[in-house]
Amino acid sequence: MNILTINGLKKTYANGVRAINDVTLEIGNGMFGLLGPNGAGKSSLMRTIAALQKPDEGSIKFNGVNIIDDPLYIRKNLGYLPQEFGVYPRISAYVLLDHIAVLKGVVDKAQRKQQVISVLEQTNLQQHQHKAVNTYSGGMRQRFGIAQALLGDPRIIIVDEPTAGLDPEERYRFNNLLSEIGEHIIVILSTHIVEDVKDLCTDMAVIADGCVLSKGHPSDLLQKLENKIWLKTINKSELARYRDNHRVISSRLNAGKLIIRVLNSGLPGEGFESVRADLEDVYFITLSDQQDKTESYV
Amino acid sequence: MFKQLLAFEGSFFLRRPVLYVNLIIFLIIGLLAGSNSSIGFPNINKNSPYEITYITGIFSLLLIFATTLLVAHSFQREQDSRFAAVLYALPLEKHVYLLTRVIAMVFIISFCIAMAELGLWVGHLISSLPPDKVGSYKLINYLFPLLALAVPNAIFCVSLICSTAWLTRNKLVIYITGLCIYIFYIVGSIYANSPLIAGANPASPEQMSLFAKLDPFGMAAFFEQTRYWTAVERNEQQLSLSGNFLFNRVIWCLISFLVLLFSYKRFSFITEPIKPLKKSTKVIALRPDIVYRSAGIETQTYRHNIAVFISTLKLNLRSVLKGIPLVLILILLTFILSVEIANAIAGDPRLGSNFARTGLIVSTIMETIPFYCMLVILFYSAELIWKSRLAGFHYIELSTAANPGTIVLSKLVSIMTLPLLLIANSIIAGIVFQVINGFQIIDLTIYLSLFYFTALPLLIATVLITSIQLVVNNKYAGLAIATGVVLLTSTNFGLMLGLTSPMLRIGDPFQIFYGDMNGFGGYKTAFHWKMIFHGSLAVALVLILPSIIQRRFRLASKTTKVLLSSMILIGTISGYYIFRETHINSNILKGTRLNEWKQEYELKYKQYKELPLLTVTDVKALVQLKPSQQEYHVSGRYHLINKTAGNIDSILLYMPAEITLKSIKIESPGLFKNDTSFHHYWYVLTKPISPSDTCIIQFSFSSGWSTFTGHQAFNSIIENGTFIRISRYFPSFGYHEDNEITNSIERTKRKMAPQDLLKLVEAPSMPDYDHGYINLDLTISTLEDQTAISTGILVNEWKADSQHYFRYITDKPIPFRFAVSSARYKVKKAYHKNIPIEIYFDERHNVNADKLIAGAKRTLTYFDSNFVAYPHRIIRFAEISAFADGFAATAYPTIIYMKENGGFYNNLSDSSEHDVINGLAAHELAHQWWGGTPITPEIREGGWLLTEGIANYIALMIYQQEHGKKAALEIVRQHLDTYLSSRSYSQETPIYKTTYNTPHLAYNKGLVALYQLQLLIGEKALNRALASLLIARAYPKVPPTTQDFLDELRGVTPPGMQHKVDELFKQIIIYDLKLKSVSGTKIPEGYKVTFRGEVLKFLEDGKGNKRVIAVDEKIAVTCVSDDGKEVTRYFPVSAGLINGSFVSKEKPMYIKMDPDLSLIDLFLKDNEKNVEIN
Repeated sequence: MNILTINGLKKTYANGVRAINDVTLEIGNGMFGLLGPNGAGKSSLMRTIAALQKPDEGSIKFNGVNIIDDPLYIRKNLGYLPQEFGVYPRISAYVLLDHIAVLKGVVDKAQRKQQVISVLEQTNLQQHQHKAVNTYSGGMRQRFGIAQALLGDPRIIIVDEPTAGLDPEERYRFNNLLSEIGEHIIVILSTHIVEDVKDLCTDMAVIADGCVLSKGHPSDLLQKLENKIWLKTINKSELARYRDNHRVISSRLNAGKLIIRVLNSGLPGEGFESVRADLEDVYFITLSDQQDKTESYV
Repeated sequence: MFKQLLAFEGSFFLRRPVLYVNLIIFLIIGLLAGSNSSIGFPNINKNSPYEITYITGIFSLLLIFATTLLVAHSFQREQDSRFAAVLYALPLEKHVYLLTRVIAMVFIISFCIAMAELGLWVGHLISSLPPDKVGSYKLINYLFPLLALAVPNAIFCVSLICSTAWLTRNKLVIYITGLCIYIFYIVGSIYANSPLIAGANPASPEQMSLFAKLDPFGMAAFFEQTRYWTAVERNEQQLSLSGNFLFNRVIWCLISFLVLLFSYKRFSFITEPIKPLKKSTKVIALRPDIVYRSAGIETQTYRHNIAVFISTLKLNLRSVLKGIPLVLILILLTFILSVEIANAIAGDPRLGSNFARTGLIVSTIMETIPFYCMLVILFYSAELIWKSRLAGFHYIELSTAANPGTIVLSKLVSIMTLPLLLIANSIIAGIVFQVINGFQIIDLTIYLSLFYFTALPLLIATVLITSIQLVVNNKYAGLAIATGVVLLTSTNFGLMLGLTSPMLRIGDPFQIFYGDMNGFGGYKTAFHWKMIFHGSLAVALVLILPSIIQRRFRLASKTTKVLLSSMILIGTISGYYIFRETHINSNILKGTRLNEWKQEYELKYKQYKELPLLTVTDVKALVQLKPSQQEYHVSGRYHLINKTAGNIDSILLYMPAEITLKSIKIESPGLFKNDTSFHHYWYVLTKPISPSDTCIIQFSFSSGWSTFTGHQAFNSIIENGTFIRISRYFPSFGYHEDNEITNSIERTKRKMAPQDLLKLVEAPSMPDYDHGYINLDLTISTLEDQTAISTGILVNEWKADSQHYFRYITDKPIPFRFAVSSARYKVKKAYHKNIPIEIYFDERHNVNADKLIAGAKRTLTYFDSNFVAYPHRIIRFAEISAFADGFAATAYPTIIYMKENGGFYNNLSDSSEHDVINGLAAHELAHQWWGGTPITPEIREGGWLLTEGIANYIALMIYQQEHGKKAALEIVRQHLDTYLSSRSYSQETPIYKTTYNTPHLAYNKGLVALYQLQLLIGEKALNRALASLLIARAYPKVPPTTQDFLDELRGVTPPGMQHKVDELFKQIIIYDLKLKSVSGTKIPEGYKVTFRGEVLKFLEDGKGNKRVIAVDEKIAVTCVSDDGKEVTRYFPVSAGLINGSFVSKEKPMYIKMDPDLSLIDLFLKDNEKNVEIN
């Protein structure tokens, strides 16, 4: 069992942006979803965990080792897929994977070859393994990204927005692969797509403006909203009015009409019907709570 | 839209430091050029139109680099910021988008050069120039070159480089294009014999006109138009926007426009073209069915570090080797080298071509590639260090457990392979050249030495450049700083700024000419020391590189600590040694300190200029050469006599700075008073030496050179091929005028009176003239396997104490001039009558020995039949090493020394018209009479004409005898051109009063004047005059002056031509001949050709002023018909015009005025016209 403990982590960039603001988390084996809008500080947090940057305050321990003092420890155990990455031009996938495997410490030649071939197969890139990675399409490139993250002997895999740019089929399979690997190790997945988390993660946290807004098992979070989510189909022009009177979580267009979801402990009014809460509701509620808080400071 | 974009473009640049850096650099360059008194031309005002135009032209070459940098910086900015896709998707019109860029760029670049012009103007104002170097300030003088020369050049640079940017969108290709333009320009200039390139040969008028049209920077057109301008014209006249200059400006602006148009048509708003992969039939993105298995790892162990190092190296090399830029770099390198090597083999056309010796090719490689390699290293270091970051790969790289230090080290090594690759490429190119030229001996060891001499400084520089990149931690800032450091430490730029200490010359390439005789010579030692010093520091830098990138100082291991401290120790020790040898143990003064010394010397000792001196009559000396130690010892003895009318009570001895005096003893009682800082020794005699009394001085001294401070060309005691003008280092007497400051500007600055004038030609010759001739008895010892050669008869030769001894005694008194050479010689002997001719040469250089013997015999025969017999009992020729410099061959009584690279070992098989051996042998042999024992003229006005002018003329006559009139005429044309194009840089004196500062008058106009007189009075008559002077004035009689020479010439000139002697030698007469029209008609007898020509004759005052005088001679005009027959007739000139006609049976081809160059004509090209038959 691997354990990642993050305690009171803070990071402010030179330009004054407070990217991580007192984050405390404990993450064990399995998939951990980091959900948050763009600019929430997901990537900053992940880079800090990957020891690519140092926090201003706080500690990160992996299996009891403080990795801020000993970044090498996490790197030995890490598979990392950055949100955006590039490759050397004109270098084939095989060569590049082999190189990354060396960097990760797979020194034994035969073993390295075997693993490279295996991850190529797993990501279904073996057909294109001798083509330059910079000629790959977005999906193939993302598959290459996950392939390289799997190399070596990772006990923690950090994937930053991996499903961006993948089609639904690819996304599904991609998530499957991750969850399978996640049975024995920690997989931290950042995303702003609620579904990714819902389907896969055993644990999650919602993050915005550098703060963890809520954390827990998805079903626990859903539990709290049981019987509190109401749905109604309205005219577009009515939206403002509803917003004034109710706590509208989200609105969605459907056949020219607007379907709104409202948070309320009892029936909010005529025409509302009760629906099961989903993770998206959790997400939006958490975010809007945060927003109210911020606004009240102003 | 257009306006906004232009404003946006402008504001983009206004926010870029790179723009301001450029502007400031140009301003500084302008300031330096304007205020530096050593830049420019003698006799021409600093703020004259000519000089400003010239300097602006040079500045505009620098625009290539500014444009390259700015274009690379700005055109790629969307690509770099990945904004291109957005921008290209905007509804921009292509022409608006591109036009704004080009216009902004042209404007900025023009602004750069305007800054330089401003700097030039301010520089002129702030520097305290002497009044004779400043004319009146006119704004137009600065504006005209800016607008007519620089701005079109800016347009040219921008159009070419922008087009590359649009078409390739590759930064490195943009850089390479900039480099290409520069290199092609320089190479083109070399081929075009551009006066931009030092030592260019005079080009023919046709060539000049062609290049004037072709030169994209307009400099050739500028030179063509101003070539024969006088000083006054250069100071006052503006370049005229006409003729080839106008043509050139218009055509190149047009070409720039067309290039832009072409690339504009090809440009499209598409981001990087990526070929899509073929879609596989069924996309199964991932295969969860395959079970993931982790692999065993070990991190940061020795094995892992090695694996990381190798894998990173392989990856980097793969990406470099696969890149197009490298291919371009190698092609370009091969091209430059081919041109340079071909040029080196072609050699100086006046000396004939060289053999494709390995040494020559290696020297050429050493000279050509280091700076090129340095640029490649600069660019690739920026590319490779930042490659993974720019590619977006660095997060993956950094998140692994690989040691970042190992990765950096591996990148460093991959950058290091580039110079090695370039050197290997150069070696292959060199060998191919040798094979093509059919040269048999390919010396691989010399080639391989490039991997040490050229590569190591580059590798050390690579460490420095890479470290700068890592410390600065920003690609462009790092590149800029690294470039600055490279400029300061490994180019002449740093030297100019005074960073001359070898310890600071980090990437300084080893550039010593490799001659066969002595190789790189003693310079290797200093280089080894420098490499130990810089190498140990570089290793130390490498050891702390990991700390640099991790921004904290922590050494990995104990081994590293030990290694680092030992490197610092080695660096300190070797650094101290180099410092001691260069600065402490060296007494060589330079720059301001030297001038101060000179001024003080003059102040203190000029009063003794007329001090009565003793005359040396006999010199006996033992010269012990130590070639392997690069030093020699002399112990000698002077026999002196008081030839003056009065008593001499004190002796002022002078020992040159190059020697160390060991002992001196004067065998008359007295007291020494030393002034060693000025190398003088006063000896106050107890009892004065009365007239005709004698005195003996014994002395010993040693001399040599340090590998750190370098050898002196005339004092090169070296391992093989030693040549020492040794009489210069013997003790001498009295005031030394050589120590005076000669630069008149420097003298004015120091408020010193002008130097004394040379003794006038009119000054009476003293009947008791002291020739200072000596009897010489020289014993020379050298290495056992070497032969020492000097002046005189070899009376004895023996070996003792593993030394080889030679004793030379002169057969008659000679001037106080003697030299010594020593080498492993082979010898070839022949006889002219009973005079032995001996050729001493390196055994590899035997090809021309027979030719030299034949040439010597021919000259001796010419002298026998025209003048007087050879004055000595033997003549020797000895080859000497390339370490001697400043001449191709030099004559001493009985001996002529020829440099291995100055004619002795040249390839003469294919060039009969460049018969250098014949020419050199004749010229130097002529000095055995003129400038040798029979006649050594007094140092005074005109003296040089009697030695160099006459020797040149005699060599020409012998050449004509051997190769015919036509070949000789070409030589005359070259000399005429050299004279005409050199004369505006100094005041011209009539050649009978020529000084020693104007070689073009003594050598070149001297030859032309004697040749033209010879056309008038005939070779026989002229030689009669020379012979008569030789007989009448040979030693021991008082040597002749040019006035005596002119008297002899008048004696052989018919009465009607007497004034011609004055015109040629005592006046400055220039003609301007021009054929205005030629027309031919068919008549029953054949053809009739009528022509009209213009003849102007000018009398000049030597300061650039001239007035037209009447033409009193008939002008030769030749009609050449298509069967090659030439008919020459003489036509009188009336009112500056000649009209005449020819009747010819055969079809006439062309008409030519003055075909034999009997007049000094400013512009030869318009003397010839084809005949059109109506």
